[in-house]
Amino acid sequence: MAVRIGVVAPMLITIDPMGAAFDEIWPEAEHLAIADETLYADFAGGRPITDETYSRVSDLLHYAATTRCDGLVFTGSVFGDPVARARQDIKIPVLTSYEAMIEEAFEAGTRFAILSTAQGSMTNLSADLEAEAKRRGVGITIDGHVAAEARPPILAGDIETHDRIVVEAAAKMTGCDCLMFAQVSMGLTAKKVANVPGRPVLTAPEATVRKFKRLLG
Amino acid sequence: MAKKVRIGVVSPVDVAFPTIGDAFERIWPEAVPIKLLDDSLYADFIHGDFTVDARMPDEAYGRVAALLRYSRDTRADGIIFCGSVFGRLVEAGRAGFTIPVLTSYEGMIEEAFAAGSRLGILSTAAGTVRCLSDDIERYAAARGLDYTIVSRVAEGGFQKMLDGDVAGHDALVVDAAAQMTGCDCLMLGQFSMGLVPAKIADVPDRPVLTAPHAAVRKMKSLF
Repeated sequence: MAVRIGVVAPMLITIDPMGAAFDEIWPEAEHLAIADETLYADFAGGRPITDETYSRVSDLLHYAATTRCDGLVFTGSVFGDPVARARQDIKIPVLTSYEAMIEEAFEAGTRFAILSTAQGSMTNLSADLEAEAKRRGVGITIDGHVAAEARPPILAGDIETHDRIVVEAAAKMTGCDCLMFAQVSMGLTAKKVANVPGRPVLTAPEATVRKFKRLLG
Repeated sequence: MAKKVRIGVVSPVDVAFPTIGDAFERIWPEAVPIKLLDDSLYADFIHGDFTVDARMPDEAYGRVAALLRYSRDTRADGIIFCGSVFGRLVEAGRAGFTIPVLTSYEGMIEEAFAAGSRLGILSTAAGTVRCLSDDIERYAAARGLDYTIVSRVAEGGFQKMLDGDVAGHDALVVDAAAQMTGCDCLMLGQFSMGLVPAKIADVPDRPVLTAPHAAVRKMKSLF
């Protein structure tokens, strides 16, 4: 029977980029979505992460773990800590949005660039990278750029405008060992970015699917 | 400002969301519908031809009940469950809840009986006709109501919707609807058919009822 991965999402717009990554990298796997937009409404966009956030994320992941999935990924980038706590007693692998991409980033080097469409994701990804650098005992640099003007279009479903802004911003971000896209919803945009030799563009959906394929494939 | 009413819109398939969104915008724009999607219910309990087992497994009951509890705990003031084949499971799962939880169909069934006893059902999948008929039977039995059902399936329509061919889907539904007269109302069986009524030719004394709009009207009446 095919391996089943549950894409647990706080927003429906993160589902398609994950699905596209599965279709391209691991089409044999079954992926299905379990999405709860109240998490985004109540806790994202700069709102505080509270005890309730932890319990709701935990409840959703525990529910998802009962749906015959062999692995779960939580696609909300501001929920890394709640996910890390909730998975402690879940028996299948549960990935946060970023951890697979962060692994790939450290394989690429130590000079990181991050492009985001929201400050919150930038802050979270930077913090996750710093924590990983400390754990590994290596020095890193982070060159971050927030293209906040791309966020309203993607939330309104205007993918073209979003992608144009992201592509233009990405063209300016060279001189690094890799360029990371901080939002899962930016995952489909990477294909449109002009190739810069020696600067791989890393996206959370692709890195996540590659990691699941290594773990479960 | 009063706190806005939050309605959890729980669905096993994302094609239901545009129609329920439309219903809220038209009927109850002050409320805040928030989506909860679980693809696993379709993947595990609905066959490839959109039929279901006559008796759903206990696992399906357990999962629907857990999903409803989860939705309740997301500060929801009410819940509408959009999966039309899960009516019986929702009725079981909501037991003990203090917030209103509506199945796909019960708002529409109430409106249908208000229109008369000759009930028309048009669906894009045969399984749905059976589910809606079952829900009607339970509703009527509980109230001692007599009725007759005329039903028709616009074959292939649901697959067109899943494939994203909305125009092709709508054309099939409109053609089938034109052939269904002689009933006191025409119920559209799928949530995903909810945007079609505007295209259906008007037949006097045969209102076209859609589940999402009736569900929102019913939920609004409870607040």
